[in-house]
Amino acid sequence: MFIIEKIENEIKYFDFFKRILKRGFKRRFVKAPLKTALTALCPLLLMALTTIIFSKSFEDKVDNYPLFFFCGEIIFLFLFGSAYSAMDSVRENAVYIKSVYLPKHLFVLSSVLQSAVLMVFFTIIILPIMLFTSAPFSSAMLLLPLLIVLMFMFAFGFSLILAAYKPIIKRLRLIYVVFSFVWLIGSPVFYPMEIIPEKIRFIFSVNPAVHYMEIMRTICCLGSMPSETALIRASVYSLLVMLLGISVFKARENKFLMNV
Amino acid sequence: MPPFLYCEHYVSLKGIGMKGKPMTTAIKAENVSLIYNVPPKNGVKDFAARLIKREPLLDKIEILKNISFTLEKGSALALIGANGAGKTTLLKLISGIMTPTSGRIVTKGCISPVFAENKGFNPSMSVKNNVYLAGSMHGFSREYMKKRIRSIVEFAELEEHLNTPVKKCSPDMTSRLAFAIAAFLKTDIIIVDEALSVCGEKFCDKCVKKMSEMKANGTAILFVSYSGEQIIKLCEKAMWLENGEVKMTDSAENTCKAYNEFYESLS
Repeated sequence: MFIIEKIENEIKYFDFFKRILKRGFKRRFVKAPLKTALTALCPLLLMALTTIIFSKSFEDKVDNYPLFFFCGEIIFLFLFGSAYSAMDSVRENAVYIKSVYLPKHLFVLSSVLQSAVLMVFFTIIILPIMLFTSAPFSSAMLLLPLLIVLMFMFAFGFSLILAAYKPIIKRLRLIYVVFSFVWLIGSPVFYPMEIIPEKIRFIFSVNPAVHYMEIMRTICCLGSMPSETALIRASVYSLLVMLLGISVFKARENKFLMNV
Repeated sequence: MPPFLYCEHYVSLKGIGMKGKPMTTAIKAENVSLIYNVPPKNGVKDFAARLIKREPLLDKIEILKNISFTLEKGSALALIGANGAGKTTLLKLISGIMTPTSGRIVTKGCISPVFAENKGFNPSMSVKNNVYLAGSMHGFSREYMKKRIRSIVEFAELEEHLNTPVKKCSPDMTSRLAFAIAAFLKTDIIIVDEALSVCGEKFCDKCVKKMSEMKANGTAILFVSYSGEQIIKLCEKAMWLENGEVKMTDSAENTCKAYNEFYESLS
């Protein structure tokens, strides 16, 4: 009964959610065409650059380095970028939340959805890269939407946690950028997991990005179905982080309103 | 119940209270308190000193203390008190913008608050688009607002400023618009927090008349004003808040009289 009424309460704000989503898309993609073009080109340019630098080093372990790197890069950019932009989403809309009751997580959801659209765009760009690098196409590619949904759930939960603490920790953006450097090195974006010694490989498995990249590379680079273990691990991570994010956000919702 | 599903402040949309019984009251507040935890003045130095002395790390400031009241459908309650008494904070708790530290607030239906300092308008958008935005923030569709926009703008006397950006409107114009939007939406509770203080006398009378009509149609009204005349005209009861506590709840006339006598005796 309580949950049904809560869901009805959320549906009530669907029109408002569409409005802020539309405004976000306009601001991000339409009003800044040069920024949009650079955002689209940057991963491709990085792919070209890292292929020149690293492809020889991992020749024996990675067959299709451009595709290998691109798969890791777009996942990391999505996970990092969605949280980075969603962190301030509630604070930027303080004028609305201080005037009337609004479900505040809608702002975070809108921000993460905008990043997800970019992720879908890059996933589509994988197809010509696969054609160009003669990667095998398979029915396993039908799992890509599921992977995007799982990553979206993780990104949403993670963004909620950051958005909940941003108003009280002013330097959170800087701390997050520093943390992201470590996260980048700890994620197999430009190197294969095989070069990590087996004794310490388990430490890397704590990083959810490792599992998402493993699934995507299995589908795109190898053209085969990812293992059930990998899918279950990725799903568990996504669900846990999303539930944790909702819990933390709800608990802190009242406390951060004074700082917004 | 998992923490993300539990909510102390429960907004009931179907008029059914927490225990499954139908509600005739529009607002019920039970022992509502709000405490702010404020960090010490000297930051890290004070934190460290308190940690060593094993004292509480944060200062607690009680904003509201055990406020209880009920408001029936079709009635009006005025909140009076000096600056800093906690009136706006209480209204924010009732409208769901904030949640209380302890106690419970149960409301029935759609709440439309009109605050003096924050009307929820996007300054770069026009008056017309802000009306649609305000409607969507209250949960109403664009089609619903399209049918009402003419009445809203006519009531607010802003027919010539439909396409004017809100940042170019005066505070008087934005207050009129904010009230007009709240008055013409299908709301069950309307909260007016000193929003009419910048408006002219003629418009204030118009608003009081409109609120009386809304009251007759079953809307509950929470009204904050420094004008005793408006309060007595509109509200049956008034609640006097002093330093976050309820000092007196009685008929509007008696409470306003007591409040005026108290402050006259101080001066």
